[in-house]
Amino acid sequence: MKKKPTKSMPGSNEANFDLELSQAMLLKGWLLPLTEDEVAIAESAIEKESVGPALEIANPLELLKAESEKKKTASPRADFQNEQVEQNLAWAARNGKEIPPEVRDMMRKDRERAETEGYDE
Amino acid sequence: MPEEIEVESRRNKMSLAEGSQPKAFGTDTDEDLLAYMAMQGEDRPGAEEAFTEFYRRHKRYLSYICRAYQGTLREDGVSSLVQDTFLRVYQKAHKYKPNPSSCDDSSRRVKAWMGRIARNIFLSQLRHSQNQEELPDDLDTKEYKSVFQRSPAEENVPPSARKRFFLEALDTLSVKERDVLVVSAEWCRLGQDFQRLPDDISQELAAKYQSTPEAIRQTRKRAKDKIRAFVESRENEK
Repeated sequence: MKKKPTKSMPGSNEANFDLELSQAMLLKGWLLPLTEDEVAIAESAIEKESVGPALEIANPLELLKAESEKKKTASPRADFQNEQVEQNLAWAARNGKEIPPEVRDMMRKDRERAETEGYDE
Repeated sequence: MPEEIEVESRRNKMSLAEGSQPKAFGTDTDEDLLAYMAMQGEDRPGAEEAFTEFYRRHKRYLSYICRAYQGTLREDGVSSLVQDTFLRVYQKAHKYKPNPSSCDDSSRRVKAWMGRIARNIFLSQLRHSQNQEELPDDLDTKEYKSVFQRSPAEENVPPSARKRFFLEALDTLSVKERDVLVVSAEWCRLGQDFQRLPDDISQELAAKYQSTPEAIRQTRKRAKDKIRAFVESRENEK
């Protein structure tokens, strides 16, 4: 039996409805304008409507400063408590060569001094 | 090299403006300001001055468009979104790619880019609260199909009767219906048209409204049915 041709495709109706809905939402300021055409719509809405107060920051550079402070405090400090990991990394940095005992002694003293100074801060 | 000359001339301009107000950038386009900001590694004071001017120009616009998410974010959330967007603009200025063929108005091009950044931060925050992966980084530069294509001459033409009915129908929605519709509409614009609301997003909304993801999907469907019925009844009145 031959299929009856359908007058309209429900999927396409739904798509048209969604498009009209998106357009209305954009006009209403419920969607963010993501293209130049949409920006034009938002601009004309801003001109016509009484738009509420804008975000006011006395010095916008404070935003950048706060972010860089946040990064400083949040930056993870390498945790080299694991002696074995530390030794392996040091070994890799020396291209696999052994450290002479006098250098090893100097390194140990340096580290002890650094750790003591660190606690003094 | 021409690029070096360009950078040098910008530096000269900035050094002339030293100690003065950010008005030095008054004649620069928004794309110029982004170019200055992109030089933050070489000339931080210049980049920061450009940022100050950029903020001055766009704070009203960005505050307005971010109110789209007021239902989901509340007032303080909207302020945070505006701030985060400005920050991201500064951090990602080097990624902005001017595309002169798409539009002659560079300001609108920049605003569209800013809108994409704000939208991506918003959706990433929603995903993040559900421990989902961040959205891909290139969404800010992705090309989007406009839901509206108007010529500049049409910008001041009042909406047709059917469009007005849609606008009136939106006013009949509850806060929850509006919220669900806004979030799902933004999600659908990621490129897959009219898709099902993703599980993590419906879960986030469900948590907010102490409901279930299925109930959220039902709310979305009910809201659309309500709008459809409203528009049809107004058209039949004519």
